[in-house]
Amino acid sequence: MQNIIQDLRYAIRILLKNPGFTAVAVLTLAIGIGANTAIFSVVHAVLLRPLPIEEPDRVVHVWESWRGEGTAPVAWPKFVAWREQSRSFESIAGCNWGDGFSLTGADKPEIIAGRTISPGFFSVLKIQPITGRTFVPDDAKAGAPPVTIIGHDLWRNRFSSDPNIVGRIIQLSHKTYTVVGVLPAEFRMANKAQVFVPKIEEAELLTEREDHSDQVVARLRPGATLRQAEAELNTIAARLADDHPNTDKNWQVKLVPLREQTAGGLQSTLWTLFGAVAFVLLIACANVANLLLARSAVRRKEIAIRAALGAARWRVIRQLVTESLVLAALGGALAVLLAHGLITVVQITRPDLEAVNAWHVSMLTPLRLDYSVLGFAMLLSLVAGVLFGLAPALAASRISLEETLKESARGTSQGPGHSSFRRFLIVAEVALALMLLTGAGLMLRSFWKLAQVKPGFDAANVLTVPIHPPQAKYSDRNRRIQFFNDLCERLRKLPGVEEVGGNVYLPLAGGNSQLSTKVHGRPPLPEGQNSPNYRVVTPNYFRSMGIPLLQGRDFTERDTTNSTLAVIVNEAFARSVFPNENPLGQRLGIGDGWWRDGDHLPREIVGVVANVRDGSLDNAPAPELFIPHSQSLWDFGLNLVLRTQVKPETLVRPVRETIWAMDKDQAIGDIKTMERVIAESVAPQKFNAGLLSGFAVLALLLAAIGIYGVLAYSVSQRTRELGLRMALGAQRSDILRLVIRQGTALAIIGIAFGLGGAFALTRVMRALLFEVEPGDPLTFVTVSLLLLAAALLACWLPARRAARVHPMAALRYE
Amino acid sequence: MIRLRQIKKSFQDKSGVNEVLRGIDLEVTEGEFVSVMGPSGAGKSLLLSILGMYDSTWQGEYYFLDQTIHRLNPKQRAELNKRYIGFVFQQFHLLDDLTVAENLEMPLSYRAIRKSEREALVADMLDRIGMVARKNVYPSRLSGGLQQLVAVARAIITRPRLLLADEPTGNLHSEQGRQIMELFQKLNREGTTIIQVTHSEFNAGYGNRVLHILDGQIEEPEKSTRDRTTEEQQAK
Repeated sequence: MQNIIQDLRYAIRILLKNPGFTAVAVLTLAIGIGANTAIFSVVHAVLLRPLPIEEPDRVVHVWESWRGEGTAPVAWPKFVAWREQSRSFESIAGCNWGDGFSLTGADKPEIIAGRTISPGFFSVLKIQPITGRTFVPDDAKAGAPPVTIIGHDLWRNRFSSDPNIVGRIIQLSHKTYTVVGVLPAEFRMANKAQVFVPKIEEAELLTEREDHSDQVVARLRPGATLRQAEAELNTIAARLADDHPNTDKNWQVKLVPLREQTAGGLQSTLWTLFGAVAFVLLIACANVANLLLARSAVRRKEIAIRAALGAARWRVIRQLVTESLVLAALGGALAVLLAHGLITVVQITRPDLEAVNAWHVSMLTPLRLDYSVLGFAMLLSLVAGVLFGLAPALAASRISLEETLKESARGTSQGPGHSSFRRFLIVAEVALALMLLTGAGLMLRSFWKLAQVKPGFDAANVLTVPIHPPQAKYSDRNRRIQFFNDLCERLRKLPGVEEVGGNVYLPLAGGNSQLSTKVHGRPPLPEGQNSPNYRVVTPNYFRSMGIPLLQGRDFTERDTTNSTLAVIVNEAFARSVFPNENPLGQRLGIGDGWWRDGDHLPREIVGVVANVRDGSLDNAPAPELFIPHSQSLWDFGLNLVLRTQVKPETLVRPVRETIWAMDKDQAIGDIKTMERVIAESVAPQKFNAGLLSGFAVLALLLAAIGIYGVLAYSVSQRTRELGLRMALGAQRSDILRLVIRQGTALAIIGIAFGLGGAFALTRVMRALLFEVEPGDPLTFVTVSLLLLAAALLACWLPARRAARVHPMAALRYE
Repeated sequence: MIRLRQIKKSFQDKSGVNEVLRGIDLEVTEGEFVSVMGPSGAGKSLLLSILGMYDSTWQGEYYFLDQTIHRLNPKQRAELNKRYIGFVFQQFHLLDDLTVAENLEMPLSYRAIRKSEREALVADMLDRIGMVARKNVYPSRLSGGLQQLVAVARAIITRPRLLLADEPTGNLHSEQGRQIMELFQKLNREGTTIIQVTHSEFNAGYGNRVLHILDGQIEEPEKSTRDRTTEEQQAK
């Protein structure tokens, strides 16, 4: 123990005596460990940390699956059948994809996120309210008095933690609800739901077997496995298919563990980033190892004296490794501060990482420096300390006293083993940096290509305003339509507004619905054509968005329930369904609620519009149908889009005032420009490309510093040789060439290995790339040249110093 | 061949300006073998360094062959050094990582000489110094005398007209020293001008002129002991 303390004390003294070396090593390690810790905090939050519910491993998502391929939302009658017939689950519950409830009663109406759930929902998640009760089956019966359970935040912020909240009446979307319970503070869903209401099982709901629009979660009975439960539900599904062949045939069931569902498509992104950041740490370790090797050469005499005084080899190693560990501990401490900053940056730039798959039943995944993350940072520091410290310590401890004394007459120099290990480290650093640069290059190319994609509309000068008139207040369809018509008219009159329209789902903002469709009087459409995207829009929507009308006409106020039912299709639909025909005048049967004699009422195609990238910029436009809002039977809110002649942001206030002038209780969603909607839709790709590029730049810098360090050291060690060469006739250019050749040779070998590694590793990135192949030659060539240029620059400085060597001074001439 | 007029060199240190060379006047004609002697710190090696054009920060006039050295820039001086001057160091300064043959080839590689010609010159030199069998040996495996032999060979492989040697036998025992001195003498007879710095009266005797430097100045030139003896014998 005494020895360890002595080692520690000596290590600290040595490091304090060399503040430059200590600062560079600690900073390098802090960058490597800090970046790793930050990314680990994301990986831990999203992929590793147990979900904040009891026995989360027993909770599964239950999906329907068309012929066993992929997953699809559940039709409520199927859920009811599973609930009644399955034995594998302790509890099972359905819920929708989330609601926005407008909470009125205070000064300004506020939209509160919520969910409509079946009574068993909280039993599945094993969540007990802190006060009151959860839902009971009677709450979901038709005609039951409306009740709600509210979240802890809402209770605290809006109701001042009222202890008598249970039984209190509140207004949600102009409907009166009684609060029956408050949820605990720890229960925080990803969609930030603070209001829960029961899904009323009306008779109509139980017949909608084709309406696949809900989610189901279930808790496995103790001992039941996911496979058993899936098999049981598939048996039930087969039975249902026999009973309802028209609607249930070909539908199977798929179970996904809650954790897997929460992580969603983020796994490959996160592991890629984690891999990338691990490379940064390896490069940092290689750099510090190189620094230590250089220092151990300087300390040969000290080590020789220690050996002469009787220090065993392991004792010397222990002393040197102790120094490495002290360095690593300092680096680790600084890294935690750095990680804290990085996590804040991630929280600001990627809020979705804390609310992964918010539309699913998923919990918030807060990013924070908890004990696990701090433990990881500590472990990483320890591993790094041994990793970069051991090899130099082993090498340094291998010296012979006799040789060292002999050498001292001619000045210090290193054995061939030392320098070849240092060269190996540089080659490895360059190879790792190249792999990272290639990954980042591919992501940047991919993002650039994505940014070049034309969305199909003109996003400049467009303001979007989400409005959901409460069903309770606007239960009369005509009143709701009139509200929107009047509102559009008023908004159009605002100075600076050119045109106003509306769509249920904004392009690129998420949200979709598809409806089964057929061409009237023809056999059913093949798969891929028979369920196009379904959009409800107002007149002038296309003009407001700058979507070209290719054929026919736009909707007008004359399209009402009394006129011919109209539909506008997009080019993709027209081309695929009517390849050699004029689509105008064709009639479509769409499952949008207009039925007669058990069949869809036909809608006439009155126009064809250009394609729009609706779901995401990286997906080709899908076939789409547009229905006039005035002919829609369903209660939809709308996203109004205002084309403006002025900066759209300047209209936010007048728009709000116009809406509240019409209805002071109308809640308004998040008003954004269309450009921001696009930017948010590509934010994940931008973040990935940005972060990976950041890591790659770090790697490039560290590798360049590594090359510089090795060459600078080599030059200082070779002063005698370089001076001699000059004394024997070498010109400055000869010396420059000599040193640069030495550095670039290492870089080129590293690049060659790196290219091989990158070629193999970038394959796993395929899913993250858009219109760029993992083996994209342009990226490979560009990053190789970039790295070579950085290496040349890193060689240049020591080379220039070498060329300035004064021959006689170098030879210690008198 | 060499004419120095009032060469001065000083260093600035903590105690102030330290004048090391204080107005050196010197003439060396082609074919001479000059030995420079003097106590440590007298400026002998510095003078050699200036003569070799390795040092360019001095005052005075230096004429070498038909060139006015003090008017040339460092690059032009380096070019002259490369063409006309060879240098032998006390510490040999062979490169440890290069073999004997490679050490010999190095100065040639800095001159525009084809590879085949370089190889021929190296082979010839190895033959001359009797080290053909050891051409692939690393310097550390050679005795001090052989190392200095290689160093001298390396200095003369470019056929310099002036050979400068800074205590070439300082690290050798007497027999090895004698061999090197005889080699110098032979080179001198073949036409190479030699200026050596030495502490040894005996070695200085191999030359035909001895200069004494004291406190940065040259004492009156004197004939070497051997020349004096020869003259005395002739007089008898």
